[in-house]
Amino acid sequence: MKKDKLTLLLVDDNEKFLNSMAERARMRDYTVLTATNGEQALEIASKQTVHIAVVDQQMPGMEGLVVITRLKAISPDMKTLLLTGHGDDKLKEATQALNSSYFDKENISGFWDFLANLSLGNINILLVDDNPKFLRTLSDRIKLKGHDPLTALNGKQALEIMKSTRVQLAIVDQQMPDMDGLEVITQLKKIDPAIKTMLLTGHGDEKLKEATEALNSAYFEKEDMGSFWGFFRKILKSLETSMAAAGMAEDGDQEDAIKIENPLKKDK
Amino acid sequence: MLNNFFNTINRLILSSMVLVLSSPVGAFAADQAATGGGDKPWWFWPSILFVFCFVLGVLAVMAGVGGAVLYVPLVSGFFPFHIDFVRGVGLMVALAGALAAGPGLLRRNLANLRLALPVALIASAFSVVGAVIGLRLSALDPNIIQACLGATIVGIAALLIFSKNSEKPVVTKQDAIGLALGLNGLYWDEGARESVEWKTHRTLLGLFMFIFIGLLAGMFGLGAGWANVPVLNLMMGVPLKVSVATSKFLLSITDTSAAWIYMNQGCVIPLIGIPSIVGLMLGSLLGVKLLAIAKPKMIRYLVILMLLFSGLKALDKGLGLGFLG
Repeated sequence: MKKDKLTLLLVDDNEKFLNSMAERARMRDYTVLTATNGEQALEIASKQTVHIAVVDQQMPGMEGLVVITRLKAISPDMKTLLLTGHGDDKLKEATQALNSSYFDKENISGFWDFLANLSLGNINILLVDDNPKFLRTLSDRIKLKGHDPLTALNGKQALEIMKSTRVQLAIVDQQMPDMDGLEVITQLKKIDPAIKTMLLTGHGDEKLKEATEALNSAYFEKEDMGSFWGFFRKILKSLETSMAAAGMAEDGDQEDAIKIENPLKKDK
Repeated sequence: MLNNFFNTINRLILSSMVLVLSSPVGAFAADQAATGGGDKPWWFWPSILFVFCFVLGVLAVMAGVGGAVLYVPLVSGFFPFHIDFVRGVGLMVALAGALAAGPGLLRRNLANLRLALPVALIASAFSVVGAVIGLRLSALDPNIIQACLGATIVGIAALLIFSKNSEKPVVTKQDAIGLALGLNGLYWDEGARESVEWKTHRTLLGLFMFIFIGLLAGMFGLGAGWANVPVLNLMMGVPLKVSVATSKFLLSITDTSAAWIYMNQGCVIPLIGIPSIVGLMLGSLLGVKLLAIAKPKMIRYLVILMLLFSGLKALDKGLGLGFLG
């Protein structure tokens, strides 16, 4: 399922807040539906598929928790989030009892992070490659499939992520500076034996293939992943990106030029 | 290992810049010009120009100074080419950079079409006027245009040193003209993780400034990013990234109009234009890779110093003072 097909239903009686949230959500490629009260929200949900509903607690007529209960009755698979400006622990417990998430309006930036990381299929994918561009491309492709993968630039980072997060599938490059892909896969499997793993390599051979399969891991050569035209398109896209970055840099905005050229590079 | 490689290239570029600053090419070119320069094969000057422009391309990106701004004064100062040819190719260089950057900037929603179009209409109309005036003045006496160019370059160097752009200027109230033209927008700021709304103020004054920007762009073939960005950002209150991207896109319209005038007068010579454009574009590609690794501030100051020197040299040459040789 593509992320741009995800439908987000926003329910709030404050129209200004509702419109601002809707605008932000559209910038994040969600299909956005809005309702200013519970009745309207239920009517929308009964007519079309809604993947995620974000509901305000205090609304005239029907309060947020009741709306969530009734939305879940219409579509049990729907992810629901309660947003409130006047929350307390009791309300939080009541929301969680409905298998719904709870957010304070004051912590709105945390809300967007949570929404971005909301895994609809409950699958966490970890990508490990020391080439940031390849990592980005792979990550973008997986995002198009509706997942939000975790990324690591080396084995050490990958193991740290694995210790704090449950990962179901890891895609690992063979040649990396700190430890090779086979070593990373061995360590990942020690942490969670149930993890599915896949080794990617640009310079594979039969021995490596056998060694990978002995670890109960899948094996892919990077060359198999793209055709000549794919490569050609990639070069053109990369040129377009670099020229846009050069244009920004020449006219004095070097910070944004760096971000365009290398989006994975963190601000220092 | 890659870092070491780029560091080595960085050092090489710095040394090339010192070479450019001490102008051996200029001295050599001046000698050649004095002796008529006729004893060299046809490929000699294009090859030197290609290498020179490649280094300029790297420097332009790393210093945050437009390629054409560096190209026109340096090439007209240090190569034995008539200033009309250099200005014509300068416009083509700026145009090539703008056309190459345009699609990526539009695709990322950084360049704003609503802002660019009214401004482009004014700037491109006056760039045609500027180009005609520039060629007329040059026909009267090339020293007039040389002196005006020198004064402009000194002014640009001062602007680059003293003007401090503002990332998100505060605009409390949009004026009527900005509102009527719909000069406002919204962009997503990934760093702050928020959407940023912007609108313009002092719109009429800003649009008026583009009359002069267009005239200067057409007259000297300098591109106009150095002037577009401060006007859009500091005067009209457009956020820096939108100003820069829109300015770059704007050049593809403004410079096209002026370039026609130069082409029509036979001032765009492929033997000068092709090595210049290819060299600068390849240089800027390398520059942007280096920029992602290191951003030495010293390069910006050295480039501005170089620009100031070439401006003074052009002024000196134009006024016939002879202080700088």
